[in-house]
Amino acid sequence: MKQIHSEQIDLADGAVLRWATPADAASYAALATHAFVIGPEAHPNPNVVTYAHDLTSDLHPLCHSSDVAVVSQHDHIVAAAALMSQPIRYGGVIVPTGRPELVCSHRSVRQKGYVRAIMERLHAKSEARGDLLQVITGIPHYYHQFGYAWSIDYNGYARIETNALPPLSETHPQVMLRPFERYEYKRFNEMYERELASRGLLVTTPYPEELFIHGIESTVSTEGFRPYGIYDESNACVGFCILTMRIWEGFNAVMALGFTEPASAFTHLIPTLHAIHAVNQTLPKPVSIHPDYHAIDILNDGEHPISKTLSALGIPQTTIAPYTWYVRISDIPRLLMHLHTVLESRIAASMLRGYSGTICITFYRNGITMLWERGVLLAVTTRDSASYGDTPHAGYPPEAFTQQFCGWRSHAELRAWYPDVWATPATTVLLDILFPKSPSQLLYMN
Amino acid sequence: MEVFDPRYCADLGGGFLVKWADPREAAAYGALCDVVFRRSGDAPIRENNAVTVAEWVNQHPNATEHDIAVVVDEADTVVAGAILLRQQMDYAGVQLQVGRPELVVCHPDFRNRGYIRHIFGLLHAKSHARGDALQAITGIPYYYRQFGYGYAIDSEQQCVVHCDQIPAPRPSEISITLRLADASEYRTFVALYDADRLGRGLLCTTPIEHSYFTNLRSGSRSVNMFDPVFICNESDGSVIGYLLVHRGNYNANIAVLGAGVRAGMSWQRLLTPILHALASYRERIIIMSPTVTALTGITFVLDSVHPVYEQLRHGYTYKAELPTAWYIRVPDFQRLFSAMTPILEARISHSSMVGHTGTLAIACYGQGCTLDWHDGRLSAIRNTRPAIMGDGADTCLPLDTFLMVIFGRKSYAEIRQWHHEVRATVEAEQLLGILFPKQPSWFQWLN
Repeated sequence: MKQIHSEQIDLADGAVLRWATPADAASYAALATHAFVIGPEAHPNPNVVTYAHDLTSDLHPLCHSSDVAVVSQHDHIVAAAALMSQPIRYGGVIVPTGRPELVCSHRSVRQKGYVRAIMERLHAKSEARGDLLQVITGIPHYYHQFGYAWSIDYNGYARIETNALPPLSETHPQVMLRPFERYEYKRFNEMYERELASRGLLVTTPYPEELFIHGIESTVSTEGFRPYGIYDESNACVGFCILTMRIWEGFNAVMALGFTEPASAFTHLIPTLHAIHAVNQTLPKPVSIHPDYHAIDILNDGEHPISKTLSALGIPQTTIAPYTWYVRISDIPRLLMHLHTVLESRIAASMLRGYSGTICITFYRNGITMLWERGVLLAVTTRDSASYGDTPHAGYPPEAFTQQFCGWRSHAELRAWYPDVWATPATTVLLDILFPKSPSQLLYMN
Repeated sequence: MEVFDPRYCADLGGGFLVKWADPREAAAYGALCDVVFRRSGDAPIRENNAVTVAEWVNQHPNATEHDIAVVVDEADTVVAGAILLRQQMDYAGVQLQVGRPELVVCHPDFRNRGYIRHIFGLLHAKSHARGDALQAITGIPYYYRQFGYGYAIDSEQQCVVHCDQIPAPRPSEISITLRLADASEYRTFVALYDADRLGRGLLCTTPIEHSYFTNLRSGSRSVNMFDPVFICNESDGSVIGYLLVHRGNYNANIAVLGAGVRAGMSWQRLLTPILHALASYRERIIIMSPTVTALTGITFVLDSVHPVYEQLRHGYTYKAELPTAWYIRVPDFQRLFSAMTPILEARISHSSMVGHTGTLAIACYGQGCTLDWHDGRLSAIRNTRPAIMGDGADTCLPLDTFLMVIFGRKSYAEIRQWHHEVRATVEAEQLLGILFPKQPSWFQWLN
């Protein structure tokens, strides 16, 4: 890892790829505001300025300045990206994950392969530090070229126009929001985890205490979240919500929301929405050309019940279709062995309890062999590219396997889409047990 | 010298050349196919591919010897090859010229050197030069994606009926016999065949020309072809339908690649007699697989909406498999949409956007096209190189998904549901739905 941090890679034309220091913050921020301009008028993007400073400040718990790869040319940063750590659990097991973020290049140096060089080094660093996955959001289609596949729903919302909020009545309980203080992490996290656990999610996002405190005490960025407690008239905490920190395109987002007994969504949601509305009216609107605040977005990734609840309460909503996380798996055998307890528990809970056998899967350029004995995953090994006459038990284009692994698509759905997804009848049963379709909710942790 | 010139030859290094085959090399290519396309290294070598290649070179309406690209070593030994067949596609009444790479082969000792990539470079150049609107191929799963192909037309929905499980004939059913169509019976055949392919709401189908039919029935002996077979009323010998029956076996089965009956004839009354007749017809099939000693079933390889499949669901025991798909490659949208202009304009004229005027800019992330509409007429078509993020485009979708939309395999709505990166303006989404409705196809290979 030390070797990676000290590397300087000549990219020709005087461009050098290296790792950043806090002294690069202003230059990274200047590049980001240029690259992430808003609208056809190319309005500067102030959000990414503070975000770039946050990521290179050495204060962010999920990103150190030396995790930012930069391409420097004639003393200017012309391309850059950060490698954040993204908290992820898969079936309850923590999976070390890297997240390339704030990827940008100056318009004058595009199509020169600088971002490719950066991504290559980010991936190398991610793997060197033990990450088993990389995830990224961003430009449609673009990251496929770096081995990523769409695999987890992301940023789907139920949108409520504030002028459509049902009025408060005397029958509604009184509710107020108050931002959590740093000493309240435990209370927040219990409610946050309970809400996740109630939904049978496959991929979830642990909320680290360090990030919780950073968001309260030291962040300079408006790209992150702020957790709030929901309090009743006796000042008892009856729930929580996580709000984004600024008005963007006329909305503010509720990234998580949950209630504890005796409160419930049926009794407390409408007053809570009014309380969120009150907070939102105090938030900054960093981009002046954006519309003024007029709606609340509530994240409904992972088959969140909020949309059905809003309907039941007669609150009009618009569905904002989800975008998708790109996911990259560079070493499938290592990842599957890391998750062997999850896979073994799925076998144990199935009609193939105690399964013994070998499963060979081709990804066409390479593949894997899983060795099972009495319900225990003994080994997962890499298969070389198939030779003629080779007879694996299943085949997937690599991106299709990633999608089933993440629970995004079932084997049957993939087969209906990709004629080159296939499996023997017995292997189809196994694959459905090992990698069932399941909802996920992966929060970006800015 | 252009790549598609028959004299073209390029040095691949190490003493290897890629070139268009001469007659000797064409024969060697056929022999190479017979060596490589065996189930195992110790399986006996048959000559069915050599026979097929000889027919393509010598007497075939859809190929010539100059359509075979090969890689040869210093001793002029053919180590890899493929042919570019010609075929027509009927796309909702518009005739499209298709280049169809076939019998793609590389000796195992020379794989992973890029030879097939070089060969495809030649085939694609020739296909473009002769005006083909698209290329189509079936074959190795996943493999042809690397050459720009996407799975765009469903094909080969298979249903297998075991001969022991065919229901007993009922008194009300017609007694039928099967016989090979004679070379002189093209008009009878094509009337039945066209009624079948054109009368069932299919998007992409395959016209069979007189020359191809004549070749099948008079000159061809290749086991890689099918035979046109007539279904006849046993009582008077009249022709009441047709089948396309593969000359070789599909696993342990006889394979039916096409089936149609005269208007007014009932599949409900005919299917059982046809199954019995096919069970008897098995003895004419050439068994190519060394592990198969006798044929035990009937495999239907038809389009997914064929009435045979509807009838099988009522009282028959059968095993259905999921369809696979044709790989399709469209290197030049302007050429394709120019050829398709009559049907695109007809679709607009019969839609809620009749008389449409406007521009539809389509971006496929690095490749794209623009369709200019004026008063319901497609006034201009341009290939474009849109920005990588599709800035300014009315719709943005990955190339392989756009191919699915064009050829009716998936609707735009399905594509959007599956690929969250797909987007379109409200008007573009409506227009795409009108121009490219989801529709089943039956695109039959013509070897």
